Amino acid sequence: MADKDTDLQKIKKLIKIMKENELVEIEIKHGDNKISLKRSQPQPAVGGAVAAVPVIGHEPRVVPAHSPAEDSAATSAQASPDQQEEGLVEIKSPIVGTFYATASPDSELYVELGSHIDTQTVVCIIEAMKVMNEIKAETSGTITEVLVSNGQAVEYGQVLFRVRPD
Amino acid sequence: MPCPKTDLLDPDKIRANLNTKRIGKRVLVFNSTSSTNDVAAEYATNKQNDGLTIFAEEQTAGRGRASNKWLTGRCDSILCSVLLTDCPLNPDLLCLTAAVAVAEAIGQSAKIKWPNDIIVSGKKIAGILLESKACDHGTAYIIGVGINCHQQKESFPTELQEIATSIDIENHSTCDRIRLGKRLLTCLDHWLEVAQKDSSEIIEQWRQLSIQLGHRLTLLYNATTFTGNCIGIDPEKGLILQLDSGAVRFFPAAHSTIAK
Repeated sequence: MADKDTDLQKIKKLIKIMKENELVEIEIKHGDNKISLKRSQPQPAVGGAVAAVPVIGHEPRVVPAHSPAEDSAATSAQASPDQQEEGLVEIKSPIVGTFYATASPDSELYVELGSHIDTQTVVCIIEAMKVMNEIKAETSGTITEVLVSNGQAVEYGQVLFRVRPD
Repeated sequence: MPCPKTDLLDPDKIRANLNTKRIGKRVLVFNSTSSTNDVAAEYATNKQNDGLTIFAEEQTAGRGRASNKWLTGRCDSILCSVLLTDCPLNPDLLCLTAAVAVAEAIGQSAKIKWPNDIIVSGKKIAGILLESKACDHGTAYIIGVGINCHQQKESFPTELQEIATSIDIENHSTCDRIRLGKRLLTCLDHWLEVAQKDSSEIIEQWRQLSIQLGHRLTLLYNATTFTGNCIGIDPEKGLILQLDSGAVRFFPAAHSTIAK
């Protein structure tokens, strides 16, 4: 944990340096350790700071640039600005894989906004390790949000749909 | 739930060195699905999907003919459906062709019980369910095949234990479903090509593999019972019986059920 805390402090300092100097990219190497930070071009219209996305290690990740108003650590890039309706149930991905919204490329969507589902309704396919996994809703209600798009890579536990329960 | 078996179906392994012209050009493996025939039907509207093959480790609503359920444990069987979007064969010949191919894939001791069962040692080891779907491009056919592989006698419900068997039971060893899957696709590819060129070869194969030819049998046709000697099969009109009255009659597969 001590190392992570140290890294976090370093990242915060680097973000500050980037902001003060209007830097878009910065990379620091020390032995096997590498810290690489990127941020989108400063946008005057937004007015606030632009969050940087830290990449630690040897395999940089590409993360879409967000423009939240507050400066903070990397996690702020994941925060959703949307206000969520209360009492919604989330359908999460049980595995890491690729999300498919239809049974075949020519089929209709399994579900869409407003679709009524029950516990046995197949809501999508997630392809993992070359195997297609039909994902059942395991809840009943009405789809109010679709948070992923066809062909998108999804993580374990990632929210795919939000459902207003019956 | 993960499968305890070591021969988990893998589309790349099934397709590796698969020497087919048409069948299995694309292979999809489902962890669990209601029925592989239903999945294949979703792909039927696109003619380009001819030869697509769907495998599943588990079916939650597998079915046989006349809405009979196809019972199987997880990772115990070959459950697959082959989609034909461009097939000039009539359904009766297609069913015969599939039976010949499945019997060959299973091995020398496999016999055909018309219209859609494959028999080893007098017990059912595999079944075929042919379904069609009307599409804008024409009629698509789906050949559904279920082969019992790793079941042991106690795996079957009590009422099926004397009439069902599996490859492992018959061979006293554990089969490799990937090898069997490859062989099934290869045999289907071969016999479908043969059937399109010369249906008489399929008839000849059926004559060699049939457990009914030359035997007395009773069947239900449009709710009426007929009894007679099986004297042959017609690639378009179905099974040929010489009835006890002396008349010779054809029985198409779609409307006939073997009573005994």
